[in-house]
Amino acid sequence: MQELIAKQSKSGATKSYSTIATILSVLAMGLGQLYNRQFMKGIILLAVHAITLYTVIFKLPHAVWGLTTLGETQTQLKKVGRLYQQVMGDHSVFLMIEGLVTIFAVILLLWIYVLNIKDSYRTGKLREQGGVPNTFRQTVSFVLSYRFPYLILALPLAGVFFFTIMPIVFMILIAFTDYTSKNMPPAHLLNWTGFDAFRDVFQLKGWSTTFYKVTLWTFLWAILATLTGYFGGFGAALLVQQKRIRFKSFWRTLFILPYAIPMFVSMLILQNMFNGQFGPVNQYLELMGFDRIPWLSDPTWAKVTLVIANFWVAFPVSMLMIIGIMSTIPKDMYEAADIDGASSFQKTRLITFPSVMYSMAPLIIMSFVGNMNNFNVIFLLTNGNPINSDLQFAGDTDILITWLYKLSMGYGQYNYASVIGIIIFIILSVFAIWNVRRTKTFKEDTSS
Amino acid sequence: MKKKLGAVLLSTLMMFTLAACGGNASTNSANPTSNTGGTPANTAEPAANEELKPEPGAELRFWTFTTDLKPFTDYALKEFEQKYNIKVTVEDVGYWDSIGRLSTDGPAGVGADVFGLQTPDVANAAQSGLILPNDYFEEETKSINKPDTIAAATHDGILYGYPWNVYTFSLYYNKDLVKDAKLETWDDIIAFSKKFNDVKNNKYGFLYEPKTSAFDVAFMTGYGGYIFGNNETDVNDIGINNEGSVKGLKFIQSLREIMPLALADATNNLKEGLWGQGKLAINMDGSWAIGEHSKQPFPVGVLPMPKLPGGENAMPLAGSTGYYVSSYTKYPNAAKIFANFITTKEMQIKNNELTGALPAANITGTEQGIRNDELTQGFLKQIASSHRFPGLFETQYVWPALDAAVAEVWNGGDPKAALDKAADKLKSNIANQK
Repeated sequence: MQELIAKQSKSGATKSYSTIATILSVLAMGLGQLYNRQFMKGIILLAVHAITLYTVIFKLPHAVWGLTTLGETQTQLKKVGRLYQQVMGDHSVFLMIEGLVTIFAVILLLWIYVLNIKDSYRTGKLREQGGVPNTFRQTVSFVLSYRFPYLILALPLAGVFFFTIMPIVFMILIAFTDYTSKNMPPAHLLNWTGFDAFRDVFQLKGWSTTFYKVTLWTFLWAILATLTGYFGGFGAALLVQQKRIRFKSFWRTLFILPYAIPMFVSMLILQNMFNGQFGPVNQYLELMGFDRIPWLSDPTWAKVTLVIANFWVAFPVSMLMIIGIMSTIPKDMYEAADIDGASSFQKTRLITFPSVMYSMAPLIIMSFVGNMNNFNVIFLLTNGNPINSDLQFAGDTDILITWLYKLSMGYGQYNYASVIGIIIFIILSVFAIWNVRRTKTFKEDTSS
Repeated sequence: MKKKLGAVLLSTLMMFTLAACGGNASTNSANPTSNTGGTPANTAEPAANEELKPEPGAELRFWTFTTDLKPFTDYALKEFEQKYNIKVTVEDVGYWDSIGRLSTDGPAGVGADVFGLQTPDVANAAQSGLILPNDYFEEETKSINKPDTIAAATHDGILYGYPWNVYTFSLYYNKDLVKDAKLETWDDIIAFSKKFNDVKNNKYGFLYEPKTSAFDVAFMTGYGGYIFGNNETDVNDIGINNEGSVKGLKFIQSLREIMPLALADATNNLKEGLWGQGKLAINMDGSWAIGEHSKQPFPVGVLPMPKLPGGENAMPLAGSTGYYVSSYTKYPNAAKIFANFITTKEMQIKNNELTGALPAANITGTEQGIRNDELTQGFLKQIASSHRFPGLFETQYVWPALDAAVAEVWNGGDPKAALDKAADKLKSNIANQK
């Protein structure tokens, strides 16, 4: 066998294995590999070819039909004798998902097809240069020893695909349909409506004012919540870590307590604490001779209350992180500063702050992103209220994500909710990408 | 080259998983079709008088409240199992969560066969094709229940539900605090509250939750206001800004005098807290809480809704709950039999006895088995003179609009302007839905 191959490779030096193998591979996956005497691989690829043909011929037309029309037969109630029967028609949502799966599968198969052609061309080239193609066992052992991570990653990758990519694509598609609780499968068929929902959100009177107001507050909220949380934590860390402070661990434990209570419990408690009439906060204020503050009933105060409440649950985490970072700053820097006669403010400003910022910057951006989507605090504390009669399905303190929740879960406006979802997605991915690309910590990581 | 081999293998692997998943998805989606495709054989068009037979091997999943209703469900399920030998599993899903759960669980085959809905959700469920009509037991259901509850369970002329309960709200009062004060009209209540209120110590004569506008409607109806025309069935006739409604909202504004609270602060749980501590004399709350209020440490009575100044009696909204058969059910016959079984007149009365809920059936207060306490009897009277809860699909747009109007007026806004704005918003939301 080896002799034969050796002979062939010698005598066939002029023979264009690569061209023939490529042509064969173009005709059908695996043929080129068979020609290159990689039999096992060729058979597997032939099987893949059969699957591809089956998918393209039998599944793809239905998928394309489903995706373009979203179904044609409506579900109906028919009266048979005395009883009604539900005659199920097409289910637009399932047609959409099925169509997506099929089209993704076809794309994947086409990719394999391209790889298959490249592979047979290269193996052919190798033979022309007198090399010996890998046997199947060699290929397998090569893959197992050098490409093992890919094999292991294949399963989570499939998971990511089905549980991350597919839902996102599906959600994006919903924004272009008329999916509302008035028009819901299985009883109704969905229709493609193009950019109607987007146009409404940006232009229609009620919707656009709501959208701009909510977006503005979302950004303002995210900035305020992040800054207060971060600088609150910084301040607490500085206080706790001061040399002359005694019982350091006691203070740390005390400060971390708010974080130890589940957030939804603390928010519900805070809601009662801040009640304008019955809440203890106002009662103390009154005892001290101040006026009652409409914590939750006045739009501006409600926003202030949210920031305060968020500060209370957010600063312990950044305090802990900052303490951790501060312990890594070399002590001799402070000693040197002491010798130079620096004040403690100067030491904080010129040593502690830059060192902490260096490590914290990506985290701050991430917590900004997190705060933009900080559903819990807003939903549990004010639920978007106080109500504002100028806004569409939203209150004064609703941020985009709680508005989205109200639209979809409360009022069944799935397509509008989906538009908002896409907008949130775009905003957040811009920040996430910027974060990964721009901050120093990640830059160092990529160079290694 | 070898790198690419790895990629090929990897993608083959992925493709097999894909193919497997794809296969799953398509069988899943085929399920509902094949289910109902299969039902004609199962139901096999029983002739008019033929008995509806449960499918052999039927097992039912039933969604309702498993805590509040436990005494009743325990009783009813035992009876049902004895009679039909069909196993029923109960899951704790509230009436208002049913639709959301079913639209995802139904197609997956893990949804309920029978579940509860309240008036405002029926239209939504029927329109989404989630429920099967009540066909076989139609006449029986219609003959035993109140017309309003039948109307609530009907959509587009087809009866879907098996009505079970009715609910409304009225004024509970703490007999120890009210003593023998005269409380026949709202003027009396205002006068009483003025004397009784001690805001510094959080003592109040009368409280309700004005930010939930379904409560506020009661004051609008007394002057001739309504939500939708033609007894809450005509979407094109919006009554929330008619003269009566405006007058009603003006009256609500005047209540601020005895309820000096910000809207956001007058929450239900704080009101209940004061009530429980004996610091609230008159508490506007629903018949759904009869069971709870009959356990208070002080004597509690129920006042019918009093006369509004210069108008008729305030009429609270009254809705009904009922049970519905899922259109995804594999055992439609068994499910229909079960839904009918737990909503018969006897069962409704039994439920009143065990949990305190008011039956949807056409009964008089002296019916055998009905609780004879003051709360039940008071609410049975109140139900008779209440305003029908709108069960139209468009009702969902009413509350945000009306909530906003009440909020504005509570803070001193002009009732007419606020309600006009609310009506405009409601109209445009109704027009916008496709």
